[in-house]
Amino acid sequence: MIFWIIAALLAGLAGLWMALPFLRARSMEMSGAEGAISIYRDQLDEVDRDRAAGLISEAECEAARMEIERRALVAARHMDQGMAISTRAPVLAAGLTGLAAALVLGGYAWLGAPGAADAPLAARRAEALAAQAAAGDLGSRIQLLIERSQDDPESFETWWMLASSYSAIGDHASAADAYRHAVELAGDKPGVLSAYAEAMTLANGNKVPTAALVIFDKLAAETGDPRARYYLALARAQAQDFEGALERWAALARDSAPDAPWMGMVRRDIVNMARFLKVDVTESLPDATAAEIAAAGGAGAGPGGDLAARIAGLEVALAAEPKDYKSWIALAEARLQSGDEIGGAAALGQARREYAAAPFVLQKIDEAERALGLDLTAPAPARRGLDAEDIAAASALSDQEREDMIDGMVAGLAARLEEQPEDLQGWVMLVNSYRTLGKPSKAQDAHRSALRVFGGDPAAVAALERAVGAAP
Amino acid sequence: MKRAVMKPILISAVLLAMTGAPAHALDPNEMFDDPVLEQRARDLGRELRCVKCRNQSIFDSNAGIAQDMRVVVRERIAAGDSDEEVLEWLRERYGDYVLLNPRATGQTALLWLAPLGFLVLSGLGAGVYLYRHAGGGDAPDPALSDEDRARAQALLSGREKTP
Amino acid sequence: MSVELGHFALILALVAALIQSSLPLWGALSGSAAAMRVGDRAAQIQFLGVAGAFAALTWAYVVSDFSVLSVAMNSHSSKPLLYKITGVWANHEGSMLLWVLMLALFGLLISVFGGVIPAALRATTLAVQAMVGVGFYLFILLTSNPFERIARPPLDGQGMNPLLQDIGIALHPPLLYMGYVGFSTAFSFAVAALITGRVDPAWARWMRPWVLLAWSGLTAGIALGSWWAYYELGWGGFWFWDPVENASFMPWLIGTALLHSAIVVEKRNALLKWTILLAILTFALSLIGTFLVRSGILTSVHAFATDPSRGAFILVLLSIYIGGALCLYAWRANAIRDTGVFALWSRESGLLLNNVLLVSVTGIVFVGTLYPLALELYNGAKITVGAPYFNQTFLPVFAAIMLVAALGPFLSWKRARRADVLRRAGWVLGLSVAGTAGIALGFGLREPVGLLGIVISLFLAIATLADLLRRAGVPGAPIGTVLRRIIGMPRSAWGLWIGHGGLALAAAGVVAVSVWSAEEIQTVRKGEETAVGPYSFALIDIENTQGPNYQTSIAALRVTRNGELVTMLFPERRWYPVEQQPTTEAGIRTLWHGDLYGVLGDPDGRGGYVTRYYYNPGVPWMWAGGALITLSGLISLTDRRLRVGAPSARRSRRRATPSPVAAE
Repeated sequence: MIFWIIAALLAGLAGLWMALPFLRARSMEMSGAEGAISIYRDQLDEVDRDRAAGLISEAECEAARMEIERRALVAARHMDQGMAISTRAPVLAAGLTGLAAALVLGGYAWLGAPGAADAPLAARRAEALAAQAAAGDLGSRIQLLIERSQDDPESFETWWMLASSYSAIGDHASAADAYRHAVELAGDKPGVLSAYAEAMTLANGNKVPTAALVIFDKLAAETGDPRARYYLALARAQAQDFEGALERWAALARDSAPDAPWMGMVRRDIVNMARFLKVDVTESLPDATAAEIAAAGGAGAGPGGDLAARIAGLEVALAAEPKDYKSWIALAEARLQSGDEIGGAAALGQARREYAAAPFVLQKIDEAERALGLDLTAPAPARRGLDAEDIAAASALSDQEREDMIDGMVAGLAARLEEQPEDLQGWVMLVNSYRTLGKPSKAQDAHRSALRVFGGDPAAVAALERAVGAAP
Repeated sequence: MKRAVMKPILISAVLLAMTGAPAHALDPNEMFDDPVLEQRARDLGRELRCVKCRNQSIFDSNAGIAQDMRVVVRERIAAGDSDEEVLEWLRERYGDYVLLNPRATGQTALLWLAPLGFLVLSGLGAGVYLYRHAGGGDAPDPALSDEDRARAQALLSGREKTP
Repeated sequence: MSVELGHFALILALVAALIQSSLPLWGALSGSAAAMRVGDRAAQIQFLGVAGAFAALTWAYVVSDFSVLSVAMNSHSSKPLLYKITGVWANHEGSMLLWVLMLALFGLLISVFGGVIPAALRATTLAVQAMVGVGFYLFILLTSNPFERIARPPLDGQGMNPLLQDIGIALHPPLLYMGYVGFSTAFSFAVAALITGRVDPAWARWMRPWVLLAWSGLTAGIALGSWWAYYELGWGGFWFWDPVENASFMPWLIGTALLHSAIVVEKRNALLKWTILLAILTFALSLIGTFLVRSGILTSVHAFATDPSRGAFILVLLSIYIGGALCLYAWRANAIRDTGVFALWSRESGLLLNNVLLVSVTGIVFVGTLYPLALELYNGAKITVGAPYFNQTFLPVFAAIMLVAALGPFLSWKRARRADVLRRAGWVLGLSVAGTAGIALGFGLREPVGLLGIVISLFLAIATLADLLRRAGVPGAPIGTVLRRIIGMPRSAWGLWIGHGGLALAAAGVVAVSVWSAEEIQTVRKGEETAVGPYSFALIDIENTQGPNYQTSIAALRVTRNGELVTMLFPERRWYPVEQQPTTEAGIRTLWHGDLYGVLGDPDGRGGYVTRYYYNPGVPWMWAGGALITLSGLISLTDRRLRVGAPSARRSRRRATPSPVAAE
């Protein structure tokens, strides 16, 4: 509507402006020849100047002057042709204004898209991000929420969603930060507080920090929040009070519905703890399954021979080819099942050394450690990634050691690409690394795998061919 | 070594239509060692149109087809063809279109006669005009009466306002 | 809302143009002063309308509003701001909007600065100008609407051609259009003259500034386009006789003729009918140029024949305007009488000869450009008319034009003393032949065609200089007088000398680079040297780096002459991954006598690189000549006698308000 008001106003004003001459009391235009006369004046000046400069003779000058005078007379005669006069014509003016406005508005109504809003890209960033977020891109979702939180920092909803998105991608430190804003806005809502404390814990490498402990304590006391109870138990275990931890987890399991979402985690921890303490798991978990009982090293353990053979087989295979983190994890699991706590931790420790330069694999190993409960019970220090110290150490390594380390990095890359293949740069790096390491057949395999992954994208294939082809 | 065939891209119309990487325009691998033959090949290249491009000679163009044609030209030269024979050979295969310098045939008669025609026609026009008007330049101008001259001078000096 | 307001403003401009094309004309014919005055106001509204539409479209490009089809097709959010803006006219719809913006601007300028022009002539001129506008507004709104919207806008646009992201090519179209469209004023004045039946020296003077402005813009536009091709496309060429180039060259050639014949009308009241015809033809060729470029017929005759909506529309407009104007000419021209008489040996004859030759070369370019199209439409035969044809037909006639340009200033108006002219021409010829001989011996040049070209260029240059000196009183006058006279020369005289001097310079450059350029193509490794003419190019190093949106290899070339370092060149070979398109950036070093020009090609895979090295003598003269020619138009434009608000003009305005009663 506002558009049509502006449009009508503009059309009317434009029409009126054009029609204004018809509203003058009297208009008059001379068909004057003054302009023409001034030209002849200039020409006379030029003739005089040329004469003065000696470029033309006196006779030529006189002839030119006479010709110019004759033209001036002719031009002057044109002036007699009179003038144009007109008087006020309000009807004409109104008609012109009306016609112009009607034509403009009608023409626009016919051709235009009245009401179509502008869509500058800046205003559509949200839309763009939303489209990507809807397609499952958490990064876009987070970007969107960050912007929203900047626009409206008082919105609990935004901080809450931002925090859970951060949690979903595993950025627990940012999640904790976002939860903190949510807590400030929500007051003492138990759900929010416990999520905050959990994020703090996760950001702290799954060690319950004191601040979180205070919150969990309060929540457990006031509302019996299961999450608070779970983490309080975890805190016990981390404080070496393994019996206390088991007790609390068992109590939580008793108080929870069997299909509560946290039950899987609680049961896993009970099983691990029971195995470590060498107690009967059914005491803490009356409905333990046969597999759980087996995992806890209980009576129902599977045929020991099988397990021993499996362990032996894995050990042989890993001695031949140590770059196989899945086998390492399987070995740790098997050793744990056979009651060899220290052997399980050692297997993971060995895997960590093999993959010291491959953060992706290290993360996988961390996850396995967590699932097996080894992080709580085994004393092996957790190692993450490669820090400056490692690199400094690497430079002091022998050639052989350095080569091993590089092998580990490449193997880690290969492992990551297996799970996350949509990474052109990664494939190029892998192919080139294999070549550098003198493993042409592996390079070829990797090249082929990459082509399989990117087969449908000619631009990517071209880029790959360029990069790989250009490599020595 | 793979060779990218650059597709001619048509830039929007006010602009010149040009092609991708001009550095492809001439590959030294194609060239003759003999400078005389090479000069002939280049001169011929300037006479032949890259059939996919807009009025570019194959010498100037970097389209894949232009390169192919340059190779053909060199093959023909190497086979001992004269310049005329090379052009004819290409004309038979690609048509008249390939010759930047169109041959004088029945259908290009107007094209080749037009320049002369323009000169003759406009020259004639100017001649007629001069014949009619130029004679007067030598005749003395008709004199103005003293009265008229005085009025004209008054006009020109701005003393007389409106007639 | 701004996009829709832009669309609305464009329609407002159309309606204003409709009113401007009818009421003032009716007023001029029926003697209604008010109706005539409507023309000025409609011109203002029309300009405001298009300017608003153009601003709205530009804004849509700046903020990447992809709900506008034209923006979605031709822009991209990651383009630098400058190229977003220049992208407005780098496509069909936007460039047509620029076209009508220029048209409306020229209409507005005529209205604003046309105070000295008699009301009836001004009103009629504005009406004709608006008639042209109406057709093109309809063309834009009905076939090429830049404000077309998309219901579901994409998240990014598709326009990323890296070749177009260059300031040279970005500024080329506006200048070119200033020329193309500027000639519409000449057309409007000519048709108005036919309608009102009034053609006299004053008419020529009122028209001439607009022709000068358009012509200068066109000159600059052509030179800029050529310069862009030279440095961006990377093989040292600058003019290809491409139909698109010819489309702008034809109006320039015939516009040059118009410029000169208008002088004859102004000074001598002769060649009136001829000048009117030239004005019509000049704009006709501008329209034909627009048609060629905008209809798509050049890209493919076939595509044009199957989807002719746009092309056919322009063709119809062309027929209406040009056919209509020519019919009017046939009907009314006989009423116009030349009164100026002149002798066979006179400035008038010289300018007439210049016109004959310029029209002939225009015709040659016209036939060479359109013949293949016409033949293909006629019987499907495909032929090519390329540089060799133009070299054989265009160049000889153009050489004659330069000779006439040299001799013209020696001829005095009305009747010249033949013996004087011949004597001076003889002197100049002697000097230029001697100069050429000196150059040939000094530099060991043999090629007869090149030397002939140098003689002609020198002939024009020396003749121009001689005319300047003679007018300043050399020989004879004391030095002080000479200097005073030189300073006091009218600007239009300077226009002549600078223009002709620029032409001589540009021609010498063209001759030099065409005949004496040295070119070497080879595969080299780092450290290898190649001799190019008197220079030696060495590839020092190649560096691969990353640009903002491209990967690039930059070569370092060292150029030496007799072992002494002349310069370093840094040609680049870029790869734009998003567009999958390579470009080259030539390394160019301009010396006063020529360009050193290096191009980096592909690696050969064995450590070598294909490189192209050039020494292009004369190229800087070519650009300087182009700049001088452009400047000459602008300098003539500032001549006091053409300048708006010159004292005499102001005097006349004051006196134009006396009693309405005629004195006689």
